[in-house]
Amino acid sequence: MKKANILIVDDEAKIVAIFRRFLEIKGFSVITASNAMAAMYVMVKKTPLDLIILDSKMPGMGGDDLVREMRKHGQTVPVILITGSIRSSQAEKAEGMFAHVLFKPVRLEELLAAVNSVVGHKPFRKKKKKAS
Amino acid sequence: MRKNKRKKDKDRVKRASKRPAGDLREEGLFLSLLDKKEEELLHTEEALIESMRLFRNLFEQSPIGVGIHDPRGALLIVNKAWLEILGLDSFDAMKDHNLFTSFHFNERQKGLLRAGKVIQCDLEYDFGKAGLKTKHEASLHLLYIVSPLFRDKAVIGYMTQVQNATERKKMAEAQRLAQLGRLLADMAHEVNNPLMIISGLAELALVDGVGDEKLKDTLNTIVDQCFFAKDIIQRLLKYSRIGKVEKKSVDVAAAINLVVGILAHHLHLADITIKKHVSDGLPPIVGNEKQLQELFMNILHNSADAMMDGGTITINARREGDFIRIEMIDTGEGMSRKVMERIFEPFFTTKQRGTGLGLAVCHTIVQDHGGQLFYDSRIGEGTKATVLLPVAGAAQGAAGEAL
Repeated sequence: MKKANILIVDDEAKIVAIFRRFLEIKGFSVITASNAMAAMYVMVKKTPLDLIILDSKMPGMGGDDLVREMRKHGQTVPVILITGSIRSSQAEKAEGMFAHVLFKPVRLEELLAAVNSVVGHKPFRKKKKKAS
Repeated sequence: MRKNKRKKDKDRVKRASKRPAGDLREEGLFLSLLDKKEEELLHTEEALIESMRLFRNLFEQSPIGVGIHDPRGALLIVNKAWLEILGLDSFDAMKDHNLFTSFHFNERQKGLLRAGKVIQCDLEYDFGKAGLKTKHEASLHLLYIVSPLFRDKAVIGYMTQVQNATERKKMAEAQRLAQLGRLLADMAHEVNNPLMIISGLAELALVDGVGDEKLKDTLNTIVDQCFFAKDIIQRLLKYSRIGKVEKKSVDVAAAINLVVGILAHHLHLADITIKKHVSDGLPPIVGNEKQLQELFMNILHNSADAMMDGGTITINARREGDFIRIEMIDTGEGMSRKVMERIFEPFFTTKQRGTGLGLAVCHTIVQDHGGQLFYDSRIGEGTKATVLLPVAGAAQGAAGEAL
């Protein structure tokens, strides 16, 4: 069976490394990006993605804005947002945009459960062509 | 009357001065001088009356409450604003009020007053303590300025100026909380990353497999403590958000039922029986559902934690006038008076693994809902938490009155 492809976007290299290592142990194929621009580049290159794990706060464009930008361009890949603050109302509003919102620090088992619920049950979604 | 007499005199003088000059010249000169003096006196009197009027106007129309005390501190007179600020119908209610026997000022301040110094203070004016019947709530936040009045360097009385700072205090408090919220949000982000790295690395090590049991324990403790820290941060963030959330009509009974439902399993395992007496058809209150759930959840958690060997929690909810009264009574170990005094203090805890924020959050939530929260407890017998929340219509009425 084909490994699910996961893109991890976080400006904190150590966190990226932990998630990567853990998810690879659990049998996923992982790509990483340290900011929103790098993540966009990965998507523009039409790398097949099943899931994006995204930090909400990064220098430059944050996770929320990145997803909004992606959706505007027809990119429908599911996203798990990892956030440091509980702006509960905001998170709730944004929840429609995300498959899951997890609060940092996240237990790795909790992350795995969220990942499995997305790539385990949802069918693979093909990227749509750019709107422009 | 005196004025009339003077007017007559003046006319007489005027008539005299109109007489032709000559042998009467000297008299005329004298009279004209007298005339001038009279004129001056008249001006002085008018000026005095004018000044009295001005003073009266200033006193009565001032938006600042002004009271005058005699040298012994007894209150002699107050203006309209004073009565309005304190919500009193007449001065009578305050006639026994004395600067030096009142509870508002401490000994140091009273000493300063006696020494002829001006004192200024923010104080929580508790009407119950002051023995005053008022239209206001139980207490107001007042800004007091007391200045001695002098004549020839001797204190002949005192003037008190009172301003209602309740709204300003509330605004300052809201601002402080907003600031705290921003600071906490920034801090959470900064602290959550290192926590994520610490717990993540420890978890990874565990995933990789650790043979040494001691090391395994250590790693598990590291992970646990990281999530304990996360819990503290999240509670603090919630604490800072109280008052900023949306409020709407909420069914208190439903909130209680929901929380009891969530806790049922946990309580059952702890050998705790719940006895629930919630009146039918409780009126809704204006509030935030999530915060009310948090409130009941925290109270019940504390009760459960106080009953390590099991017991009973009795929950009563009924309408009482304009309030809904909710009581949560446990048969736990109870609290000493010393502990009771500090339970609402942030970070105060008696639990091995408590954040000390549960009841601080509860207290702030209830306050923000215009209600009251108090505790009764006896060591070895149990603890009773009482929450009073204003019912929807009554809360609006009270708010309207306050405006």
